Amino acid sequence: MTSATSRADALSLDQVTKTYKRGGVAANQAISLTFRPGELVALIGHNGAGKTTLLSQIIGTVKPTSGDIRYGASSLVAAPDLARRVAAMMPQMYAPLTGVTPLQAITSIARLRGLPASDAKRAALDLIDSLDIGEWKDTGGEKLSGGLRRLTSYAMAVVAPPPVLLVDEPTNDVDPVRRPLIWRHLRRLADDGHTVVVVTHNLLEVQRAADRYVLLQNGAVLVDSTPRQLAQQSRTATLTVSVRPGTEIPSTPPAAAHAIDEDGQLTLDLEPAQIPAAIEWVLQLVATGAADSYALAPASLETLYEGITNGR
Amino acid sequence: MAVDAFTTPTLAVPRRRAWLVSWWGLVRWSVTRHKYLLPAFTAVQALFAVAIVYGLALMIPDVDQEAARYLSSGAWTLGIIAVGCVLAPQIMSTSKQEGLLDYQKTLPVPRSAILLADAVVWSLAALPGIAVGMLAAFLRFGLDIHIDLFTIGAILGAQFTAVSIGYAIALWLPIGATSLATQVIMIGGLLFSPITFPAERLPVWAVTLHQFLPFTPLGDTIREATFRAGESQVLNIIVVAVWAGATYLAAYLALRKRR
Repeated sequence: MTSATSRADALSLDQVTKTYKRGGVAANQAISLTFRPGELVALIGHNGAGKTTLLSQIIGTVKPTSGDIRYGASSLVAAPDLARRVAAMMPQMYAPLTGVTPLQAITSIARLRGLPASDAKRAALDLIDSLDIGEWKDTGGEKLSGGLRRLTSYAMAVVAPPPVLLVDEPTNDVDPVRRPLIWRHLRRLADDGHTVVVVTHNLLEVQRAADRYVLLQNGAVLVDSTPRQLAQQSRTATLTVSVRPGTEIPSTPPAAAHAIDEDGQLTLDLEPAQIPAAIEWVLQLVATGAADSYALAPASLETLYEGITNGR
Repeated sequence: MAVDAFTTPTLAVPRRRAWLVSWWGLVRWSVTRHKYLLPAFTAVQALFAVAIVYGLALMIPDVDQEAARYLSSGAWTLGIIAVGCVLAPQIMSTSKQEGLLDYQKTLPVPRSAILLADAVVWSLAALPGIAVGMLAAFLRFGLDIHIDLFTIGAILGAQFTAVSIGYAIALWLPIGATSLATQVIMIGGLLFSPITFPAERLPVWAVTLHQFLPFTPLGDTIREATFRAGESQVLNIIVVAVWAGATYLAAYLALRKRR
C-alpha cells in the first residue's frame, strides 16, 4: 500500500522537450526522469545546459514543446494550477523583497500557501531560526545583502512546503557558515518525504547531501546516478601538489595523468595501486623544498564532472 | 540517506483555496510592500483633483454651470485614468522588471487574483482623492452632486476599466513601450478628449472617434452619474463595458501565457 502510494506520488518527466524559437536550439531535448518522494536530487551542468528551464517546466511557467510531466497520474502540463500546488520554486533571481522584511515576506508566502496567520508566523520564525538570520528578520529587503536575500528567498520557497521543492542555486552568495544550514534543511525536507530538486554549481557541498545526481548537457541528460555509482565508475584518487615557483620537478611523478595549472598546482590522478609510491614521491618533494604542500583526496564529484563534460 | 518507499512519509497535495482567500493574501502582501507609498499616493490624488478644479478654472474667465460640471467631473475622470492607465501599468512594469510578477506566477494563486490584487489596492487608495475632488467642486462652484449607488457603481466601473486598459498595455508591450503608451494616453486624455470640455468644440470626426474610444464615454457616464442631466448613457456604458471586457481578457490571457 505504502509503496503503491509512493509510486503514485512520483514526479515523472516523459520525453520533455523545449524549443523556445521555432527551428531554434532546443533548451531541453527528450528528458525522461522520475523523481521520488524522499529523494534529494542535484541537477548539475554548465550554464545554459537547460537546468532552470527544466524547473520552470515543472512549476508550469514554461510549457514543454512536447512530452509530458506527471505527478502521480495527473499531467502537470495539462493542469498548471495543480503544478503550482504540488510544487514550490525558489527562483534563480532573488525573490522580490522591495519594501518588505524577511519575516513579512516569508509569512506572506506561508499564508498564500494556506497556513493560518499564527501558524504562518511561527513557521517563518522557525525557518529564520534554522537559517540563523534572526538578526535581520525586521530589516527592509532593499537593505539586505545578496546572501541574506538569497536565504530569505530560500525560506520563502520552503515555508509551508508542498510535496515537490524546486530550488535554483540556493547557496550562491551565502557565507560558508550558513551554506551547510541550507543543505541540512534540504536534507531534512527530503527525509520528511518531499521530493527535492536542487540546481547547483556547488559540487563539493552537494555531494555530501544529495541522493542522486543528474548531469545535463546541451539540454539532455548525460549522467543520472547515485554518489556510490559515480565513485565506482571511477575509483581514482587525486593528489594535488603546490610546486614552489621556479622549481624543476626532480623526478617523474608516478602516474600517467598529470597536469600543472597556471598557479603551479600539480594534479595527479592515481589508481589505488599507485598511491603508496606517489606519497613517497611527494614527501621527497616536500623534503627537498620543491613543493610547499600536498593533498590526497578521493575523486570528487567535481573532478568526475570535469572528466565527463570535457570527455564529450 | 537511501530512499525507502516504505518509510518515506506520503505528503498530500495542498487543496485548492477559495479565490477570495488567495486574493486577500495577495492584497495583504501588496499593502505591506507599499505601506509608505499608499498614503502619499492618496494625498497626491486629492491634490490633483483640487488642482484641476481650482487650476483649470483659472484659465476660463467665466465659469458657468455647464463648464463647472465639465471641469469637476473631468477632474475625477482624469484622476481615475491617471491611476488606471499610468500608475497601474507602471507598477506592473516594475513588477515585471523586479521579477515579482514571475515570482507571483509560481505561487498557488489564481491568475485573476494576481491581476485584481494590486488593481483593487490602488483603486481604493484613489477613492479619497475623488471624494476630496467632489468636496472641492462643491466648495468652488456650489454644485449639487448626487451620490448614490449609480454614482459609486460608475466610479468603480470606471476604475476597473481604466486599470484593465493599463494592465493590458503593461502585459503585452515591452517595458519601454509601456511608459511611452501611458504618456500618450495621458496627454491625449488630458488635452484632446472632451472630458473637461463639451464635445461640440471638437470637429465631428473627432467626436465620432471619441465615442468609440474609452475615455470620453467614461467621462460622460461619471458626469451623468454625479449631475443627472438626464442624458442616456446606454451607448456609453456599452462602449465602456466592451473596452473593460476586452482589455481585462487580454491582460488575463497575457498573465496565463506560458513561455
